[in-house]
Amino acid sequence: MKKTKKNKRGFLLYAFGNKDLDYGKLAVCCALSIKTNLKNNHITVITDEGTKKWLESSVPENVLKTAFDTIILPEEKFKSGKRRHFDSPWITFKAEFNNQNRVMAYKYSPYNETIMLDTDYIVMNDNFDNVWGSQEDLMINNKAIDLQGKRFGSTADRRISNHGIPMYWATVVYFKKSEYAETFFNLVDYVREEYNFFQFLYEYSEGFYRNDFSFSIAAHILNGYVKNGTRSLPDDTLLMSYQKDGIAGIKNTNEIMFLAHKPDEPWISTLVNIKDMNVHIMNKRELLRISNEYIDLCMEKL
Amino acid sequence: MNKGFLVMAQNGQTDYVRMASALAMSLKLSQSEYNKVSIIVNKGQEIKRKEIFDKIISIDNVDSKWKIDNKWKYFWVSPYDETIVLDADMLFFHDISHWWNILSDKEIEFTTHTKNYRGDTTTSDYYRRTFTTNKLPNLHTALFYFKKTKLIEKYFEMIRLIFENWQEFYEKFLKEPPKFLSGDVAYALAAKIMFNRKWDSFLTFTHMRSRLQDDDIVSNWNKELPSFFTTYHGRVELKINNFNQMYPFHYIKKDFLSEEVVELYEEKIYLL
Repeated sequence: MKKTKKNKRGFLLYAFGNKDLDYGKLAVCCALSIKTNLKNNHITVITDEGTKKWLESSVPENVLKTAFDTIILPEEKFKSGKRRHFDSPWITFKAEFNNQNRVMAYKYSPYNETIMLDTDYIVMNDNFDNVWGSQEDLMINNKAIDLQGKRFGSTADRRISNHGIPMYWATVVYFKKSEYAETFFNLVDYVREEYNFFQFLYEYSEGFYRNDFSFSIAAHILNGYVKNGTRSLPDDTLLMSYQKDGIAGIKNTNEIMFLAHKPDEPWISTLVNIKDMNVHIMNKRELLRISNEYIDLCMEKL
Repeated sequence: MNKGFLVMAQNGQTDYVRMASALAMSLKLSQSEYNKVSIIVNKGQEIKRKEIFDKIISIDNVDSKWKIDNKWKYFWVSPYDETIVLDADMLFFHDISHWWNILSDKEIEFTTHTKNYRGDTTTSDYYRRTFTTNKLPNLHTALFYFKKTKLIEKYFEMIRLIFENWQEFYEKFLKEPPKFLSGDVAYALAAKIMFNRKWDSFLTFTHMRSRLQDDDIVSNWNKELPSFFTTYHGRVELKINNFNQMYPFHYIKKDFLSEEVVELYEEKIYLL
């Protein structure tokens, strides 16, 4: 694809679908939320042949064309794992989790400046328009709150382990084609390859590979093993909806009503209206349930 | 102006000279401009590595557990016009030469804010209730600076008076006073009596008192947190739980200074 001045800046999404979760559809929702809200809205999706074919058969062509400007099918195959998901406090399921390819973002991004997003992230304001042209080579958020405005999760979610280094969330990552960002992604890849060794050294929990951990360690090392060297994005706090939260309804493309569960009394939910705030919706099944409605609302606006 | 570090190391049950020697070696390796270190020891004290010290100052021994009774003497025994006083159980990993330039405009400065191993400013007053109760300036004598001036000599005379009559001073000036002589309290009390000023300094150090660290570390940080020394361009660095220690490091726990650590410093000093 011919590069123009406009698409030297853009968003990068990863969508590797499986039989349990339609990451392709999630990527469409994420992409359309970007298109609806942002002026700089060029989008590249990295996917595989299977997901691409599924999208072509399950999503109308005009929607796909609106959502994605570039589709990249990478050569590398990365190991995938299984992880447990929640769908409300009462339902759990296991699904394939293909997240290790995130380390290739630097290599595959066609942009000089990239914002890489999780596909279950919905953009509902224009804050990302303020990121471009940053002096920073790399920005990642290290603060997160839940729908009720509390610090997200346990200590282990604020740090990568109980006494560990601060957690940087790989949910939203800005990077510029630069020596620093390239070194960062090389380091992330090294941590990914030696994940067990770093687990021993940094004492994070065993289990499936987490980009949050490898990105946090790489940031910490590049900062000279001190805190707070890596800048957050201008919108410095991620808003997270837990996997146990539900969605009560969509009012419009920029307003979603959630049912926020109470962690210690999970049978109690609070209705929370989120308007004009970007939100990471971790209950993927719930997001998929409203995806058609959300796509239609976005397409009406575009 | 003649500038240098001064460490009191009067041995009793604890081998402070060994700690002061490690501190002196860490200063020699880390400081680019000012790295003279003088040590204050008991008369007749043997010192293994005399060459790392600029001056060895002998004073009379004191018969007390913590050996702090002579801590008012710094002004008169220091061989320097400008002195940074340090506790013996400290190590330096990074250059603080630029601090001296800032300090040269001042007569006296104390550390007023300390850091924990993560680099965060400590907030707990667990060890400083006397300071809070009595609104004493939050001075730490583990790292402080003074210049030899008439005013500062008067200040040290006041400190001497408090050291020699600490029970009377505590009774007259302090609510809920400590039951023992505390150097920090005496210096803070003298400062409150003598100076009408706000004490808020850039001087700082990492204070490894356990309760100043993470909430669940209450007694032995060195048993609960992994740490390792590394060398980088001839310098020694310390990482605690993967956090690089950037500030003067007050390790408190004496057994932290293992033989291996001392040997590491001796090896690096030999290569200088």
